[in-house]
Amino acid sequence: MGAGPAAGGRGARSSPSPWAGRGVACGGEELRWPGPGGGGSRLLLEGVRVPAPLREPARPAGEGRAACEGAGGPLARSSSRFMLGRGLKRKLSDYEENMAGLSSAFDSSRNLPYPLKRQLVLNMCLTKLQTYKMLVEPNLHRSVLIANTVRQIQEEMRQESSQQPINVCNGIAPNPPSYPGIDSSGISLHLPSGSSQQESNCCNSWSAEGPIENSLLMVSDDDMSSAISSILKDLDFMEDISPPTSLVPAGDDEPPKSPENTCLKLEDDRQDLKGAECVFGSFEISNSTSYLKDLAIDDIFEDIDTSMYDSDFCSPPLMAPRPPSAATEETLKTFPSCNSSSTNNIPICRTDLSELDHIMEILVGS
Amino acid sequence: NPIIGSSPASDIISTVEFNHTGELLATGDKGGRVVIFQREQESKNQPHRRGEYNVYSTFQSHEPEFDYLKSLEIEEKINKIRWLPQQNAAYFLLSTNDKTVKLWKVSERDKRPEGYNLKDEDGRLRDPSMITMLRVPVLRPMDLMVEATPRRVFANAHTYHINSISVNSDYETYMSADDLRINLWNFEITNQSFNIVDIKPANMEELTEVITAAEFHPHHCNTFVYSSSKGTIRLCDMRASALCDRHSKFFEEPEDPSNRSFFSEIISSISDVKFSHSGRYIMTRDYLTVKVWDLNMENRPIETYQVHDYLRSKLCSLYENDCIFDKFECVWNGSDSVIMTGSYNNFFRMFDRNTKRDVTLEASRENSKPRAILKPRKVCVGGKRRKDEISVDSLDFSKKILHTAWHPSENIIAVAATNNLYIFQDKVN
Repeated sequence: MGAGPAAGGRGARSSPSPWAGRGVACGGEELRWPGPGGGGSRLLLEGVRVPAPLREPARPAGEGRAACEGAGGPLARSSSRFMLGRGLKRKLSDYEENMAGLSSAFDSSRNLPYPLKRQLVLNMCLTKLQTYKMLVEPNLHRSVLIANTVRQIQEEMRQESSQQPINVCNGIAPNPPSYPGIDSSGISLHLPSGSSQQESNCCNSWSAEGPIENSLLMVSDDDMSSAISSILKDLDFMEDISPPTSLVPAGDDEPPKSPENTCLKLEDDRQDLKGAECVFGSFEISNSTSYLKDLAIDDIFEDIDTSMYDSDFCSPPLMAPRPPSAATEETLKTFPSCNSSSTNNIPICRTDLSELDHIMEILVGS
Repeated sequence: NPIIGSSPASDIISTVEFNHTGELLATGDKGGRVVIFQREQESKNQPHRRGEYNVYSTFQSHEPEFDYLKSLEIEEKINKIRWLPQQNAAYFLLSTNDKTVKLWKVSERDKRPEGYNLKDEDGRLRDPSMITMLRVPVLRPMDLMVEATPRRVFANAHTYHINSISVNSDYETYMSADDLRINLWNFEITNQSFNIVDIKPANMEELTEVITAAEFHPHHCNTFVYSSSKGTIRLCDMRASALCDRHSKFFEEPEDPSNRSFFSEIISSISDVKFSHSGRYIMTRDYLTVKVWDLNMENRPIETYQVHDYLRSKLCSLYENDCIFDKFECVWNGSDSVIMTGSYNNFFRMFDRNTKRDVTLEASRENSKPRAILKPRKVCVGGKRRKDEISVDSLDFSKKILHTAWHPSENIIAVAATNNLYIFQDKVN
């Protein structure tokens, strides 16, 4: 007794699987689940031409099998519907489709460069963490896994950046930034086509345009770590109700900040919940969320020389200790300075202010 | 757009468990209900009906609760059911939701007393002046009634969500595990439990690992294991100290650098850990594989089985839609020679440890006509798809088989597919 199904003793039975079915139904029709999507977050990457998502609505079993032709199922579908023009408001379902499309692109494309893939994953992680933060009771297991992934990516980026020579003009990651197949219609960020473009991406020529990844989340170590920390602290909801101590700078291996590092970052004693909110605030513009109601923006920047913010963005000073923020509402994005040792040494390069406004409009989803 | 079936979400089965003889099969669902099936006795008149499971008892185990202190709703979903070995005519089982464990007694009543002296048949008191003689109540047969009564409620011991319960081989104690702590209970004492594992850091910001499953050794009442989200298993001996912070054994496989990805840690998180019936091995399930470990070898598993390796190239999509966090369970057969676990598209997989053969089967309505033979399924990865194969892109990721159970001594399996329960048995001539 207890012999496995593959064991002998079946005699002349030809079927390799002797398992016979008799369903005992516990309920009615099978319930299909709605696809879980990231709720409430904003699209981070626009205008990327991607194949259709992996997740496919359930089809009747027979149809599902028969319909799978050699040309490939959903992944081969025309993806034109993922291309969005300027100024189109985006519904949540579209957002989900876009995110699914992006992850599908990640999975299927071999040409996506590693830094871009990494950035994509990082964005997904932070989006999820942000979503969890909005829940009354975030799932501890998932939060820890995602936070660990973020830390891992952060560490990798830090190591990469610490290996690069500290060079004002060269802030680009080691990989040659040729990104074929990434279309950026709808936004102004074009991709550098070669190394010559790299050299021109100096902080003294802000008219140059950077790769898409520059436009994505630019967060300092501290903010990201404090985001993770604050989420984990929030999850500590019970007996250890002790007054929140000031966050220690996250990570023992944090590279020492040089005194010249005037990277825009929150001070340690202000790194409580606001820290996390500020990180995720860079996803959304301040006037669109309730997180930032309490923030006095002036407080954050009291140590920053704001004279630059009033200047014309198209011609910033030659050796800016910090790059100007693109727009006043976007003050919560953090930008590495050209000679900082923070995570991303890639300076952000922007063009028209109007383009930026447009992007922010879409991000806000007004 | 989601297609909502005719059955409410509360019908989704969340746990399946045979009792120690295999006579009973319990299921718990998202609505807090427990449904117990009983196997029909062999009958010479109807030999083909031997082994059919019919509903034996249904009861509401847990209700939704509201934690006023934290303003949180506590789900009534049954996370786990574990049977106690039978010691008398009644059956006992433990059922748990996120916060509270309950001990239920399921007993039969097929006789009732009749002929009371002071009460009439309706139960009303008789007029004492009308009573002229003395009589003793007699037990008379009645229709079989199965009643479930809660005998113990073990509450308020877990800050985090309970993911496992396990009955000790001493039959006097059991443990309950949440994300960060494991508590030891005595069945008789509901207002106290011993904390035997606590991995909560002093500073929650330093948290990098959680407990995902725990189980007692089947024979040694001092030994238990717990698995973590980092893909490690710790074996602890309760004789060593009261708080088992230091493990006796630590099982971890070194990472394969060729398979490294951004999602490596997430997919290494162990979703289930089970001792073999012999007690010599443990089996763990992570997102893509099932591994068998020898208790005497900590540095790597002795066997690794790929459940659905074709998903390895889809991890980003599966991360985006949260499927990567699905917690699949795994089970041994009675002789520890075959292991089984679920997958997507209502597929489930069996691996024969001796012959190294494996099979993919599907739990669906088409296959479930009485005595229909299950046809093995195959997922095609490459370009050319054969006639009966299904391509990876056509898999339905909303149809996942997370919970399965195997009869302790026979080849009968129970497979939970969302809100349907399938029972298959190995037909012997």
